[in-house]
Amino acid sequence: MKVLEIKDLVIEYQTMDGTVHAVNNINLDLEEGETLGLVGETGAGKTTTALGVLRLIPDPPGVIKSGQILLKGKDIMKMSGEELRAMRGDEISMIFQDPMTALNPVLTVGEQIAEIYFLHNDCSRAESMEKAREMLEMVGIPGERADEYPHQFSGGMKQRVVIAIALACQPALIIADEPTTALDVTIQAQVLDMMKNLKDQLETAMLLITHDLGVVAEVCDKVAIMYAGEIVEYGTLEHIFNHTMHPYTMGLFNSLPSLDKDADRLRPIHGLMPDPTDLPSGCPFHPRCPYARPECAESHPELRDYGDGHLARCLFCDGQLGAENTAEEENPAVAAAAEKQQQTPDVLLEAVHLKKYFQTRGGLLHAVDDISFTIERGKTLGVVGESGCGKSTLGRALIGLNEATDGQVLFEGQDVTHLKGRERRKFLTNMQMIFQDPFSSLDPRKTVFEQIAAPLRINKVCRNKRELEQRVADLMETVGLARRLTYSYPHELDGGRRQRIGVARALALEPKFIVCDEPVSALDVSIQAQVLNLLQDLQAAKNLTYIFITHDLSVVRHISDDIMVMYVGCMVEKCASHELFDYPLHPYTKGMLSAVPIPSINVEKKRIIMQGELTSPVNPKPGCRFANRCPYATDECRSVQPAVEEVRPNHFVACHHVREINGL
Amino acid sequence: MLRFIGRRLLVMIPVLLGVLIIVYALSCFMPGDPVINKLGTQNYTQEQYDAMEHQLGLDQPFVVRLGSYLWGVVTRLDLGESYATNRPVTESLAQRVGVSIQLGLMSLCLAGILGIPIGIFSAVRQNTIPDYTITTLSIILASLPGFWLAMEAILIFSAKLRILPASGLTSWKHYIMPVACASMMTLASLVRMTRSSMLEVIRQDYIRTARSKGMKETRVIFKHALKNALIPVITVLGNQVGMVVGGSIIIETIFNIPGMGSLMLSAINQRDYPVIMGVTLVTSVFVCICNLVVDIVYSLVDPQIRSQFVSGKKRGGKEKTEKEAAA
Repeated sequence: MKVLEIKDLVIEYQTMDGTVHAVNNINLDLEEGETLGLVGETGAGKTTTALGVLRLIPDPPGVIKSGQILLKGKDIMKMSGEELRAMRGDEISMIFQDPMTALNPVLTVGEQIAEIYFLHNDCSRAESMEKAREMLEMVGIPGERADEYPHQFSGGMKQRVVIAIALACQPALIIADEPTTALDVTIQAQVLDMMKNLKDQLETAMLLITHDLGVVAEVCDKVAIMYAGEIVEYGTLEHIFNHTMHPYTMGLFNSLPSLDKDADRLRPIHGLMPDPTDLPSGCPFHPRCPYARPECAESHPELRDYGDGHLARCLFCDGQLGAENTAEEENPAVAAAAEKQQQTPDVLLEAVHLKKYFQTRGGLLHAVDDISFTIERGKTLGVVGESGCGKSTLGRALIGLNEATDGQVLFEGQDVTHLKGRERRKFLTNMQMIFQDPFSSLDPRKTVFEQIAAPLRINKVCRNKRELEQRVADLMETVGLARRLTYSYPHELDGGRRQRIGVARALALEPKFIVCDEPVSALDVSIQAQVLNLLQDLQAAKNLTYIFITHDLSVVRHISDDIMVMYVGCMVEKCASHELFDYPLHPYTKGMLSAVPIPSINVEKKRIIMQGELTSPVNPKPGCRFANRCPYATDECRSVQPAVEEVRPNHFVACHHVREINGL
Repeated sequence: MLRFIGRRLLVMIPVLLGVLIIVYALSCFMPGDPVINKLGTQNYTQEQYDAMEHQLGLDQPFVVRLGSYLWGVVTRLDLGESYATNRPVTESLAQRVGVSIQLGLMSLCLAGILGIPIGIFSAVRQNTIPDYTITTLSIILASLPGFWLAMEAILIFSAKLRILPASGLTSWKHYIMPVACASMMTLASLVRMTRSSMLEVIRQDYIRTARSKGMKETRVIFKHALKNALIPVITVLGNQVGMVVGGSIIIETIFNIPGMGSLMLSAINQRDYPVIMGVTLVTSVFVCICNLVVDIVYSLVDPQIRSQFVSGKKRGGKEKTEKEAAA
């Protein structure tokens, strides 16, 4: 039986700039117990579709223009307010993206779950609280924590609470909007696993909204790919992953860095998602499509069935795509990149027993605890770890934004740990940082020119205005920013272009070393691929050295020569990039690697689900910090902190039992 | 929690001392001479002047006067005697403070009872005609000077219509105009605060979550949004409560009400230092106490602030039980 049917749904937003065509003629249906993945980049209309199903589109400015939404045959569009309220939370429930903000801070989590029973099942307060406790147990939280408030829970725990709210009334349909995007991989694995189990147990249908094809491969039965408010491809997992038809879907796959292969260069989709107030004529994807022909700009393709329920919206996707007409410039830098491997080792930066502690109310927070490593000139060291493991603090301590508590940073053999004043400023021209969020790291009141010129001005690099303008123009060209954007403000630009400003700013003083702190994590995959390529090209051309901080393992594999894995302030493993993925030795690394959802359905993988969460870095107990989650932990692990050892050539691990575990 | 309150009370001591010293210095260096005011005439001999100066203690150096005043306050709660009436300042303060508190609290209650619901209503009906009307009116009210409002009210209700008395405070009718006029400013700012804070809260994700649970809009507003929205409103209201004790100079003067405000005004005119100091001291004590009360009320509304009061020891204990439960 069909739980949900969406027919010709059109949703628009009336804004000052014109009508935003958020959702154009969408058709979807969902069987009982089935999971449909709705995939697309920012602005594709995924969340609008979901809110439309619950009739929760903010109105004004949003309007459901036309179409039908049938829940078990009943038309939601014709429901009265009373009927809608009875449906919401009881028959359809929603899991929202960000668990940090989805729960009310002034109500206990128990009250927030109990409310569902109170509203829909005519339960008394006491009964509802009792059921809420049961529900909490079901999602793996001790029932007595029902009386606590959201701020007392970690992100993963909060998302479990949100899921408990969604499942409370055993709805026929769950809409999950990016349910795991805000979570760390190991926590994501726990949550996805739990969602899958509960869904099977309760036979609930699910509409899963995500941008992560890995998550789709893991949980979905069917997939709909959205672009500019339309479904461009629709089919089973098999159809989408193994018989990809639409050029946009192909582009998404090509943009993804992969965990299991070493591609030199990503192949991003060029350009940007079109402005939804002003969609291009014909196929909305044609300006970015590598196979576009003149016809594509004229006629708007229909969603056609290419057999067996595999639908695609493209004029030529039945084997007539022809050759890509990409004009992608072959980069001379790539050849240089191959050359750099031959050079003799030349240590640019060395950290020696680096420590950074912060005094907090609860005690001493060990953000970076005794980390030592070296980076060679022209190489990239990837730093991976879950949020709160101290990777950003490490990056900031290296360039002196947080002065190290103890230990040394040596740059070209010179101790730069405690430089002050003028010396520090002079030295900083050698080291720069690219920041995580391009939306908040740029001053909104300064033009692109001002942003890039600032470091040049402060350090009085240019003698006159002409020279300054020339330098900025050169920098903009280097990072691929069009000349006409010189006097734009950050809010006029998209995330990818803003991050290019950040890169240009970092490059302005021609540093030798750049700390990239999650530079692509706020960007969509196709844009992420563009920025990653840019960083690689710049490295090859200017022999730059990077520290690349990220939580995304496939990105780090793609860009790094060496990888360091951090866990609660400590380094647990460090080795060459391919070695880490082929022979991970530390139990944490193994668990983390197995937790990454892989965007392919042909890989059989066994997953190690790590229970529990990160220990607190505040006043850590002696012993291995991973001991509470480690399946191999012994008493020794709980009392003595393991030292970093070279277990294989150039492969460093901090674990007491690394040899037994790996049979070395 | 008790430790927190104790600490805050201790912090009040340097604050109050600072206020006393600054106000004492300011009033002493103010132009004008209390001795001449006291003699009340231009015709006096140097002997009369010296005698009066000695009687008031003004012939001593500033530091000595300040020291002995502070000593009196701290050891005997002695605020000195009024230059004008020769009666102890504490006595006239005790007479006056009740009136001001009565008037002030009544006007604050009126402002709160009207302002918060109007603000909520305006936020819920954002961008409709009632909302535009309310916001426009509240801007007009907030920008009208209090004395103008009071005088217009007297003109209309006392002089023209003759239904309300213009001065004094002897029957319930006397309260209507002063209370209404005094509450207008607060009312207007409360409406605007509540509205903007409510608007911010109802755009939050957790309100969307609440709606997706299928509850009635009234429940969304009152159960989920209101408590969050009231947090900034409490700050404004709390500060206003503290100021109540000082009375309203303008309202009390216009309506001829014997409160702290009119006492302060006459004291300033007569260079009656002990009274100026007395009113200042009482007001600042109350403002400090009200700030403390506001912080305590915060912790009742916002559990995140509440958990800051829990001592580290107790929190550690909780963590332990969590781990045991997980194991």
